[in-house]
Amino acid sequence: MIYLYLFLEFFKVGLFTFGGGYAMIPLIKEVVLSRSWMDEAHFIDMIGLSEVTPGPIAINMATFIGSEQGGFLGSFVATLGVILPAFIIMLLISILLKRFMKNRFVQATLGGIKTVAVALITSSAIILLSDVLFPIKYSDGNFSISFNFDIIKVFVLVVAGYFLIKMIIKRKPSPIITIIMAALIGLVYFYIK
Amino acid sequence: MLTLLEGELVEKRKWMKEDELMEMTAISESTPGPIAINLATYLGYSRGGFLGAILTTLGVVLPPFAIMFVISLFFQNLLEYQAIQYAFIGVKCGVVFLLCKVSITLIIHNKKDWLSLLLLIGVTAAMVVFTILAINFSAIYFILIGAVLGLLIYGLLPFKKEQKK
Repeated sequence: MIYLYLFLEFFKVGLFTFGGGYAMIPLIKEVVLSRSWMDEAHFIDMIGLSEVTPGPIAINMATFIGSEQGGFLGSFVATLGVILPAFIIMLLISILLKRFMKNRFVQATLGGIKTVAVALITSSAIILLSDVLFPIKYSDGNFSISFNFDIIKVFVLVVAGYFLIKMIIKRKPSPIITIIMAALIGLVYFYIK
Repeated sequence: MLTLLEGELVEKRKWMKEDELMEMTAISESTPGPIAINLATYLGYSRGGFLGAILTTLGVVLPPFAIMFVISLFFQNLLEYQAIQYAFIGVKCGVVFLLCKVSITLIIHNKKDWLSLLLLIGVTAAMVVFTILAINFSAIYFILIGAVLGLLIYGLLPFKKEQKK
């Protein structure tokens, strides 16, 4: 049964993600949390892992979650699920309807979808930022906020490190470099402390 | 990824022309799914039919699949080391930072008409509030709302386009 769920959930993710890797984060987060496949901390670890391993983030995440939930077969069906919508739709576009994409109404619909995709990524960024640095809890009509000062300091160091590297190499550091640098900062910070 | 593709496909193998790659990238960005898969499927089909499409897609999926599968087998054990836990606190900060940076870039490059601003602010705010209050409302519904509003407002109303002169 787990194989069917993995396939269907990742098929859904593949079908409703527009604009590549980062746009998948909100949808995959929704899936893993609602199915209790991961908690949020583990989910963020996995994004970090996907950033430093080669290949599209979507494939990395599907493979990883599939493997944790259902071993090799789970990994296989999740990855198949996430690529199948792209494969089918792209095949149809190449076969019949390249002009379909230029249609006024298709463009209009995509215009709305693209903005929502940007909004979903932005909301994920805000939510994850808050959950990592200053978790907000809500229960019985009360909000409470707590600050993880160590993590806030590490975050500031990571941001500073990013711009330092950018100044030195005179171009934007790649996500791989950023994540490796962040890992080193975490390691050094907590050992010194 | 795109620079790698350009070097390999356009300059070395001459499978596509520069402007064809640009056009296909634009189409890949607005079709669902990972962009690399979209491009691979298109290129495979246009040069080798259905079989070509399957092979190119497999080619782009297999390496990350194999690597990630192997990592997933021992990742949990790895996390039991203190040093790895510390490193991953850093990684969490790095991930959040990258995500913030990407979203700022996307907002800057997004359209600036009233519908876009309304959707951007409305959907972002709704998602944040729903998450804090633990209300279940799938992101997919927002995508569908965006599709319908886009079709109705950009498609059917006489929306202001760039003036042609």
